[in-house]
Amino acid sequence: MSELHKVSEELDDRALVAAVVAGHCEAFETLVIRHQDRIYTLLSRLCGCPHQATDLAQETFISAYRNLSAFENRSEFFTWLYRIACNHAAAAHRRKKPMASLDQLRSGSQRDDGERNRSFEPAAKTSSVSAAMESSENARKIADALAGIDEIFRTVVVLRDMEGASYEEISETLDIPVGTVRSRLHRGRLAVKQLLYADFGNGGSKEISPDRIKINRGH
Amino acid sequence: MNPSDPRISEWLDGRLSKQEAAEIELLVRSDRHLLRDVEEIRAARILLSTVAKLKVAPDFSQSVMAAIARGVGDEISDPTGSPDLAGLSREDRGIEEEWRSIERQRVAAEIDEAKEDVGSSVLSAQHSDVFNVRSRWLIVPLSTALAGGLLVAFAINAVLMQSRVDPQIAQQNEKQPSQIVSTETLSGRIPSAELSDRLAVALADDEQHVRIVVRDTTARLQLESLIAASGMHVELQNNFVTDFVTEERLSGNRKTEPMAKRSMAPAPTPRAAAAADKSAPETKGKTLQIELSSDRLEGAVESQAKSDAQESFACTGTTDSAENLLQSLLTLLESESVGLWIDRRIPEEEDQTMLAAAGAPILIQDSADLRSDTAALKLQQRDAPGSGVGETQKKSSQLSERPEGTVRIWIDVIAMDQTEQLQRPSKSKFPSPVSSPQGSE
Repeated sequence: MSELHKVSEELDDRALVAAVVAGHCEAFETLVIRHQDRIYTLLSRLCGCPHQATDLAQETFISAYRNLSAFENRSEFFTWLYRIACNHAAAAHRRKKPMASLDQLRSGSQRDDGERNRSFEPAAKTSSVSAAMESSENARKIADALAGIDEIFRTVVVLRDMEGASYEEISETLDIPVGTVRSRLHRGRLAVKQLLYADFGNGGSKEISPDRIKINRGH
Repeated sequence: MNPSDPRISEWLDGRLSKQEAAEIELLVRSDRHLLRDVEEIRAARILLSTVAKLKVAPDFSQSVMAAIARGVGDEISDPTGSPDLAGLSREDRGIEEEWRSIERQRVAAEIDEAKEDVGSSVLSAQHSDVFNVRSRWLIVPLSTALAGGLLVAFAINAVLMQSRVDPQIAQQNEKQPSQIVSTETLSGRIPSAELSDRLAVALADDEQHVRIVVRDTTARLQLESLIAASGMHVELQNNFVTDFVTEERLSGNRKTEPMAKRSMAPAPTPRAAAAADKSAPETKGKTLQIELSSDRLEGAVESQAKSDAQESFACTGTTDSAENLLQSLLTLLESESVGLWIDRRIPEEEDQTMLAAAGAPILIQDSADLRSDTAALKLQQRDAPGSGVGETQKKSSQLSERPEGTVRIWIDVIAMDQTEQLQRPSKSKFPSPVSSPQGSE
């Protein structure tokens, strides 16, 4: 590891950005190493596919590098990076075919369940078989639930409940008002809740999207 | 409290003030179904938060830097200067243009959704970050919404004043107390200051149309109980079925007796429902009759022509009672014994098939499409012999003028055989009222 790299590890994000803009491109690698896991985790949650998440993460960092001069330090670098990642995820989602119905997802006719579930596997090994099975089952449920809701709700739910971002950080990341964050977060949580606790084939399916639950007319 | 109220999530996230949090907690704990919803949301949040972080491949950073290096070698703009399309290779120019297009689309979508959020909830403005520069443009539409709410409240008060002095209205009230909601109700129940917000949150329009497909008598009785308990005043029933089921028929005997009596619901009590407790006597042969009363609804009906079996209720009440009714219908979703299904849009055919296969005994549909049919639908009141309805029985096809500040929900109840696959209704297939009584078996 070069001396410059060692030194750059001690610098904060703003200093590293300034260094890159000044021409020290090696400093950008430190930024990548510092944030790669979080960006990759976020994109895995959003797109549900580890391979696609890797590609999107790479695109995110490349886009960040290209537009680093446009980063005006008005927000934290990582917030800005999050925004780029969410945009790439949204663009990828729009380029994809229309999302399959939840029944198709469950039957695996359109997506690889194993591949999707790998996005939600724990990083650490579990200590017992039963815990591992429960963890895997939870991962499958979460993957199904997140895949079954609209992308704009999924993004907010992932940022809040999985990444731990505050409402203000989400607002800044997605460039939406805090009120919109509130609304989308709650609607997303309702949808995830419905899908997580739905009981198909038990005398009445309860699968309902937020639009269906809402009493407010405005389809 | 509406389960879709975003304050619930804010409460769970600890973002509300102490007073607001206490208020929300009280509302949640006082509603069994809402409490269960909230607990499920809380559990879902915990589940989501326990998913561990992932790690990228060890050589990821090297691959990123290699890609950047390749890009720099192809005259791609570097971060030391602003991106210039002219200086980019064709491939990267395309990427840059796509990026800008995505940004434009995203911004436009966010603006549209923000406008929608402003229109749907006045309370959003109260909780938004006052220091957020981006939200300043919302002030004008929010102010307009608040002003609209105040105007509506003012108009309601004006109606109250007018009704007290206008002899014609008073006379109309005396004649047909069941037709309109009492002034006491209007003055006591409508939260004038929050009216616009209530309407926005609960019912965007002052008239809604809900179609309910009922598969069996049990489900229908439960529906009637909900309507009774909601506090909505049932103004009109249009029952196009003339044959009522007898106990014999319910037990398997197909004999039916012609309808003997039918009663409307006079409303001597000045409650929000403003309904009376008048029950029509049973006829000989233990015929079950339809009786409409917002206090007590009982009766069952089975139609010979199931696809034509339709009853129409027009329920009028305050926004509170309307919300109560719709909320009640919504909460029945959770009841496995009933298995109600509510869908506010016409679902896709395969969804309806799934619903039918799952054995949901009730399907509630609500669609903007149905409203146009409602406007064209002629409501006819049939005079049943010896019905004894008296002055409250409607002769005309017009309902009374709906008092300002109230909302009306049209409920069409359709009886369908359990084996019948639910068909997606279209405008042309919307059941028409049966024009002439059908003969008995």
